[in-house]
Amino acid sequence: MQVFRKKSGLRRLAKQRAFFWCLIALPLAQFCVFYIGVNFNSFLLAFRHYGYTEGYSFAGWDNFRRVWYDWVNNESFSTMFLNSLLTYAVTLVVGITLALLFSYFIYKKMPLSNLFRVMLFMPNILSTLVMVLLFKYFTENAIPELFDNAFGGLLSTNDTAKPTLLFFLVWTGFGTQVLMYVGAMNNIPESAVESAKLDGITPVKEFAFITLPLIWPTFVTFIIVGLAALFTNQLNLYSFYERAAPVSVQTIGYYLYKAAQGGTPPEYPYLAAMGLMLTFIALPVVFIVKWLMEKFGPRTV
Amino acid sequence: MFRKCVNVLLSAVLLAGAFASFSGCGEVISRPIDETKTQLYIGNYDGGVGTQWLRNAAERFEEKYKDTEFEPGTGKKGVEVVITPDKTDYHGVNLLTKLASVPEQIIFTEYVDYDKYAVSGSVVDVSDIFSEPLSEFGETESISDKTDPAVAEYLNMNGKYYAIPHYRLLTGIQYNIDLFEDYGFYFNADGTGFVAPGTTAEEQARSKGPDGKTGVIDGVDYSLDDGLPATYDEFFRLCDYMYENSVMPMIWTGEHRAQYSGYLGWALYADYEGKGRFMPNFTFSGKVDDIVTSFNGSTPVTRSETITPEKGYLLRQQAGRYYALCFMEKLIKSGYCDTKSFSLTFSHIAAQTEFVSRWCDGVKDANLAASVWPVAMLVDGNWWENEATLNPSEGFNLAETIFGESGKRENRRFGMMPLPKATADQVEQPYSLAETNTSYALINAYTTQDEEILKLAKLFVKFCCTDQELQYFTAETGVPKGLSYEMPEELLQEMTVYEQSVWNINANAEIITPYSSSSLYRNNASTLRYGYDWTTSAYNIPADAFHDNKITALQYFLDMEMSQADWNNTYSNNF
Repeated sequence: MQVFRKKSGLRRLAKQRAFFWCLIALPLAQFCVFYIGVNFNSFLLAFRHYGYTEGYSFAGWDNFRRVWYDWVNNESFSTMFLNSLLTYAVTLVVGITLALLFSYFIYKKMPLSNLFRVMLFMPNILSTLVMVLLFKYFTENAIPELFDNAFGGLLSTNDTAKPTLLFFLVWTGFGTQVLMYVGAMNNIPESAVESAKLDGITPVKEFAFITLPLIWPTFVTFIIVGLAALFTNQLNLYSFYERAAPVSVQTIGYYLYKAAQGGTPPEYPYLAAMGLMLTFIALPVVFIVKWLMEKFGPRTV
Repeated sequence: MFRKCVNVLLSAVLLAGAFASFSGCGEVISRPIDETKTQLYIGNYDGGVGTQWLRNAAERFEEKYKDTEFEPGTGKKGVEVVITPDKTDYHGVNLLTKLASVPEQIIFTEYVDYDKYAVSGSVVDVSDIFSEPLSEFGETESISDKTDPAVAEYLNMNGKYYAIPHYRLLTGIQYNIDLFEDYGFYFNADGTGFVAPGTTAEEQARSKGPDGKTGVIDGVDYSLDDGLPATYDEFFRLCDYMYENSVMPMIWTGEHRAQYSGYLGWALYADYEGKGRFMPNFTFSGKVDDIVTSFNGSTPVTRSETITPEKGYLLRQQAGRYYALCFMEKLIKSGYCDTKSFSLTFSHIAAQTEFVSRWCDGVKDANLAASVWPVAMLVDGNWWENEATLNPSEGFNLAETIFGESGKRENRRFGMMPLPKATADQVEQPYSLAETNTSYALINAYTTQDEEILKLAKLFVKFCCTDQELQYFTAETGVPKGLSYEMPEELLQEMTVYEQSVWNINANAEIITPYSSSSLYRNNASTLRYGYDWTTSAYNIPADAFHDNKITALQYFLDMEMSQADWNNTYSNNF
């Protein structure tokens, strides 16, 4: 009887493993090909030159030198770096702050909180391209019309394009953040809040001293994920302008996407080198910030 | 038991999902096919040129080979051409990654980065059909003989050819002949003023236009540009006059304004330089005599330079670019461009629609506000008239709804405008214009591994390059093919006035094919081809810069200058 049970248990284990591998095989293969393979190839490419008729040749550090030269001498790159930093700063200061406040609002079930939940999550239900299209028509046609066409479309006027794009980024970014923050807030033990209330805590203090410390890991995750995407965030520029975004709003993420999408194989080594250099800048920053936030952030134990 | 069922069900769903994703690698063809014939699958980029020309050609091909066995031993006789029109997958930018997963054996497409395709192994080497005479169709010439030598040289990749030239896209200013005549927007014979409204060329003589000639000389009709502005100055006098008559001189798409306003700059630049001074931008060889060194007032002071790959940066300072920028600046800052031309939501189809439907046959659309004026000129390409016919509720179809019969395409007269010259001393010089696109027929290497099918695919491509098919193509679409051929008079007469004007320009102007086999061009085509080098540190679209009104043409031109160090940093690998 015991032998039978043992055999039955082993068979079940084998089946469970088979099921597990069925589930994991495809994503694992994709990870190997599209992450490990692509990045490894990109690393090799950064040290090569390629010509259609000449083929591959070893380039040493030449691609890195060329990237550095452009970063230092080409004013467009200064604009792109500044725009990338500005995008992150706005997402951080405005986006995360407002997302936290809205989440707290919803968590505390304040008036119209459900309406807020729907309105803030709505942009995430629709495809980004649909949102871009709606927003484009709204800012290019509807808003100028409201003001008797006293000015042009907000996205096609150089002075208004950047704030409009940043607004769109923050607005469409609320959904996921609010969902995650509200989820984290709902896990806060009711007893802790009740106890604080008995001690006469105000809502502002409750947010600062109970809610925020208890959702700190979620908060750190958003800061770190945003930082890691510092040089890949393209501010939805490709969706709005395709390949012709004005120089004044371009980010490094947009430049890389556009260059890789429309570029040719001889240009890829340069882009691969730039990618590595950006990783070299972003990676330590991400780790340092993560370490600082974990070390000096509020502790719950 | 329940858990077991759930596990099996989940596994089945998972497998089904996996197989569904794998099946994306090869489209399952669900169309009914004639099993008594051999199928030839053809994909076509269904843009402005459309697909009707291909359906017609396919019918003729099927008829010609209805008794031929292409797959001996299978009992199949004749060929069935199965056509798939598409605007996304068969666009040259996307096609390369799709070739392995589409069933089509031949693709007619545009915006092709030729070198990328040639080295990819995804397209078939067509050197044989490129160089052998089209004798089975009763012709002595080969496709190679019909191809511009510069294009043939560019297509030659280590002695092999991987694409056959398809159509030739020419861009510039399109104008409404009916409106010009009705308002009297033609210059009078001595160029001092305009002809009386409503008068034809026969009723009142017009100026000689930018070619400086009139009448038929040596079989060439020079009267087609009569009355049109000969210089930039005349062009802006005309714009002033249009404005006084409540006509908006120009419109273009705001959504694609980088590309379309760029067409105008590119056309003006090419016409100013002519082939001799324009081609060094691609060959990086030859001598140019108009490198701007300084300015005497607003007149550029120039010098000569022999261009080599190391000196390519000097071409950013060619005088033609400066004059083109001046033209754009004046056009935009004077308000001669409809404001919609700067709206991101104003598509090229919408621009064509506004162009043809605001005014027709002496009547303005009654539904329009008084502030909306008829439009005299459109910046677009030679495919626009065909494109404006394709959508049921736009373009000419909308014009027909508004104006009835007179709004129809065949009852309208439009023309492609030979561009005015920058300076009076350039009048009489030939009109030079450069292609703005690369359009090819490609044979898919993944779907033509069967020897017999490959032969059939090559036969169809050759068939499409016979003189008769080239002529039918142009008659159907109004667009010239990228090969040399004559158009018979009877087919020309069947074409619209616009299509005839395009053919006239194609046949008589100096057409520049802006490609070269130089290693520098091949390896950096994405930054060196059409219009991508008109950038400054602050702007990448001249039209936007002037619309912003914060920069002059001169400042833009000076900011475009590239230093030798910058040039070396970007391109020295290919010197």
